[in-house]
Amino acid sequence: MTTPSMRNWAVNGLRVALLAAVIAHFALTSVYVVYTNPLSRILAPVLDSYTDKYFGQGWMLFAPNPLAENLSLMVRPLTGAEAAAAKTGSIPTSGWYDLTRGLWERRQRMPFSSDEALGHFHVVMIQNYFDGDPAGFSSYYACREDTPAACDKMKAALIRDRERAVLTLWRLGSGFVNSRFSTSAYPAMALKIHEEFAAPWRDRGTGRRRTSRDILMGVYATDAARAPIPAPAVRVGP
Amino acid sequence: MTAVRAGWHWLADRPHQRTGLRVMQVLLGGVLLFKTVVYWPLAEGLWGSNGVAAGQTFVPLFGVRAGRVLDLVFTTGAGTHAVFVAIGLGAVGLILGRRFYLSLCLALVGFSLLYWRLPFGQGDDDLNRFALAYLLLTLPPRAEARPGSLRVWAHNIGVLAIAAQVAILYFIAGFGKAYGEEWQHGTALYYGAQSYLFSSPQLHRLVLIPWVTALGTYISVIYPILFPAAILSPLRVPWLIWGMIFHFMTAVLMGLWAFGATMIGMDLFLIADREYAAFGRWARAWLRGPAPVPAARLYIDGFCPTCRATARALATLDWQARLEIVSFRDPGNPVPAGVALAQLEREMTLVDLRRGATVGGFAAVRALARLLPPMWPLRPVFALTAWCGWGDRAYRYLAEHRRIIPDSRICHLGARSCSVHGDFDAGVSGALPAPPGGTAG
Repeated sequence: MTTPSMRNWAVNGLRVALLAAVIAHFALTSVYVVYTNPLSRILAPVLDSYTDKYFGQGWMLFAPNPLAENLSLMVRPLTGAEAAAAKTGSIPTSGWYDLTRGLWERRQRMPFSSDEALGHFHVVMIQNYFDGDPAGFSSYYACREDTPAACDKMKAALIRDRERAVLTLWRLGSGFVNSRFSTSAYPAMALKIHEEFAAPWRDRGTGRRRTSRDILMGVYATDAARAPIPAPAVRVGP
Repeated sequence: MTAVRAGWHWLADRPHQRTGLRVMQVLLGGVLLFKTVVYWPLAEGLWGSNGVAAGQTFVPLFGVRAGRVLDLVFTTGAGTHAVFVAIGLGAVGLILGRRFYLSLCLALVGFSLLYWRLPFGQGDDDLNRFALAYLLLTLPPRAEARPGSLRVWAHNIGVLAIAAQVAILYFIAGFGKAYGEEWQHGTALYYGAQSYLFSSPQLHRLVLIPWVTALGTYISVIYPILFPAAILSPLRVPWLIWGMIFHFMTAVLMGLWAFGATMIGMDLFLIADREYAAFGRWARAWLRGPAPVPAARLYIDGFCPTCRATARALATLDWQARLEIVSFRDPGNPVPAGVALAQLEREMTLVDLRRGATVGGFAAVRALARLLPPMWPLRPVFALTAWCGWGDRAYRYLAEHRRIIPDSRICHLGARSCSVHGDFDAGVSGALPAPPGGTAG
């Protein structure tokens, strides 16, 4: 038999519990969204198993510095003979397709499409590929200033993200080849990343050409089972 | 203690942000619907069993049993597309404000499955997902809850959660920029515009102007950092309006329409109900002017339910109070000079109160379309219909077949004064059938 007083206590208990849960949730979220800090290291078990798992988020929108480069995923479908030659280091310089450029060119004409989202996905994967390069690990805060354990944890996460980025970019390349060509004609493909840098602020409006570089990711077998991805691609000259 | 008590009352007494939540739900639903439509062609290639996400499993997130069941969803093309259909239905429900919790669940579950299967998302996707989750605590649109009830408390906790999430987003976006070299040196806007994926030819030209770049860069850092404090200060509404302008500009100049719409929705959510009410009063007063003087009087048949519904719709569209709508059945409204009662019974009649001109039937419909700005888009259609001669024919058909049910409530002078056909004795004793030939109304 519950009395009105007991019922009031129960309802107020529920109210306080709900409020406390929300406060705890946002306290954890606040610690999670800033850069790694002493508090986030203490709370790592909870942050990893709760916040990161179900409420993962990142709000560094264009921070610490905005992306100023044009990053592109480029694919060169290879015939059997070209693939054999590529194994000896002879990668063709012509016949490449820029999968990202077509997306931003079309998005600028028609913003209400999936082009920006797909292009953003390319760019995120390319950045993960770059960030996971072991040559740059020593420059990260965790390896410069923190404990070896923190450095190892960061390295492991970046390497995992890079592996996933390679897999994703390979699949995106395969999806493109399967949508455009017969897989039997192109059993392999070469992947590279094209990076076009911004002219510095002092050279703005001069029409000076941007510098650029190409980073060869490798030669891979075309995954014939991958579903085609209908997306524009620009054929680029040598 | 006073602050704690005030906080308790804020949470317990009555539900907050009802209007803001509704506006936010509509924008959120619109963004989700947009994504469902434009991502549809990519569904198989990205999320399908042979797509980019192949091999992903929900087991680490939900355990073996639930994880395997969820994995099954994406093993077929139909399953993958069904997720999109679920999100689309949820989005439509949110826009219409119908089946609130079902719509929320469909959108939340579908959208979360896509997100967890492939990290294809952008900033607004995370925010949408969390907002959908926190909305589960809030009251559905138009639902009432007893003041002080647990339901009100849960609603306000949901409101608090969405507001906290938005405040965290803004603060971290500013905080992260604050120690970026290009943001500190006031050139970040220029560099950001050099990446064509997040730029436009207009932005490209704009950032060549030094003061635009510097001002835009510093505002982009300072505004979000101060956001959490500003929304708790008297500057809240101007701060939110400024934020909406900013997000509209990013949508136009950077092409980030989904993100811009989501953020504008969040800003509109943070405007309090009393502020919406005050804005509504101000807008109505501004539209109607200081002392509205009707420009025309419309005579309708107050005994015809369809005519009354039409009159209500016209009154809603009459923002400037230029129209006075009366029933010729009400003896309190004398028949206008130069018009026979038979004409009023045959067709609705519009009298221009300034010039005294009178038009009836479809010509009155066209005159109304001229008088009421919200009806202006229909004017070419009406003109074409009139030119074909279908307008008059359609109007006459509808007028002759309308239902007539005497109703004393429309009579200012009492029930017995109302009549059909001048038959005063019939009064309101019963509905009279419409005679063939249409003279009954």
